[in-house]
Amino acid sequence: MKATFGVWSPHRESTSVLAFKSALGLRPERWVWCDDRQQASWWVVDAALGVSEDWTADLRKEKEGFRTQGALLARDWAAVGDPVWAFLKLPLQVDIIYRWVDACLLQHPEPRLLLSGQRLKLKRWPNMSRYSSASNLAGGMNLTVACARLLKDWVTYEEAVSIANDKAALDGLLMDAQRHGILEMASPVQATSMVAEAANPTTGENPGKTEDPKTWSLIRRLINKFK
Amino acid sequence: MVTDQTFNQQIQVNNLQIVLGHTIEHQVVFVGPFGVGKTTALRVVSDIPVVNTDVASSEAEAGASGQGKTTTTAGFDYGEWRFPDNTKVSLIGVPGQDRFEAMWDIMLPRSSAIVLWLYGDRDARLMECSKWLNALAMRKSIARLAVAVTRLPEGNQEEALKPYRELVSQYHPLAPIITADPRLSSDVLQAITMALTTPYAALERM
Repeated sequence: MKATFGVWSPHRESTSVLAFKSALGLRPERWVWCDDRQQASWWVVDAALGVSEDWTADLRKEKEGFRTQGALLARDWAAVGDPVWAFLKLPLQVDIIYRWVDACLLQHPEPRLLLSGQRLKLKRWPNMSRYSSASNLAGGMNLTVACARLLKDWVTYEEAVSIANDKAALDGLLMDAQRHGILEMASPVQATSMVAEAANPTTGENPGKTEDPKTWSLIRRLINKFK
Repeated sequence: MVTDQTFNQQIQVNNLQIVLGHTIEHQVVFVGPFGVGKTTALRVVSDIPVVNTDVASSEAEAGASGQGKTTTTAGFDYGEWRFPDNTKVSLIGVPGQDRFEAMWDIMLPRSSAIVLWLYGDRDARLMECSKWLNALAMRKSIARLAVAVTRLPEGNQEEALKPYRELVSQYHPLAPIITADPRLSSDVLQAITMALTTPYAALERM
């Protein structure tokens, strides 16, 4: 499975940024543009087109929590207003970009994966008791139901979030699953058709060819009971 | 209560509503070795006071097992979840000793989900696990199974669960194995939900 990373840039039309993204495309990982910078773990800006203070402040926050990296492309070191950005000198040199990316990956071997839009599947159950909490019994059960779906079928990340009803808990579980090698990821291609065939236990519609609708009805009632 | 489970004739005098036939839709069974915490787990999640058949235990007197437990279940424990529409889910704990096998024969084949409680701190824990998996497989009760391991020593729990996973996967490739404390309702509910939702299509192909 190729690791997939999200790349965000406010300057996608910049030739420097495009060159940077093209260089990333030659690496073994998958690098995908993200429209939302909160979903991307790699940010790149062209200093010549301006760097907003908001982006710098957000990058500082993101670097603490989610190991996000920021590259600032400029001709001169003087353009770097804040050391939170990594300075990459123009014209870009592919080996320098690679060295920087490798250093970042070495420092943080588990950078935030891009889950949005991905098809996901679990190879086996995670140790769910790590994610249960006495104060939120229904939440724990929703997360369990989401995992059951991920075991049975390929499910898009967005669908899994809607079943789990707790994005933060699901993200934590999926990150752990990735670290333990039990999360399979695939590109969004064909996702629509595959997922359309899958059951939705939360609505009770077509819960699956081999599963007893009564069981799903029980799960739904249980979740309501412990809400 | 046994009568209630098999044939429930309920008459509500206030509104003269009569319900004939039992209202039990599902049956969740807790199995596992003596003293592992099946009755405790049942008490934690049951809506009704658990009906039990605990008697003084000869094992406990002999100090053989059970880690300080002085009683054992001789028939079965019975608890319930009740829903507003009057349906019920019965929660049943069966005794762990081999001599009560007859009870397993009655309770296991008709269960909707089974939670196998196992010790995590015994030398013979894997042998015990294997014995129970065989017992469940013989009674065709392996499809809706969750394995809950209690009392795991501190340390890397993922590593500690690995041998259980390898063993259980020989019987059911997708059966969940979790660490659980039978005193915590969240852990018990988690185990039950996992047992009920585990896909068993893979099992049918085996």
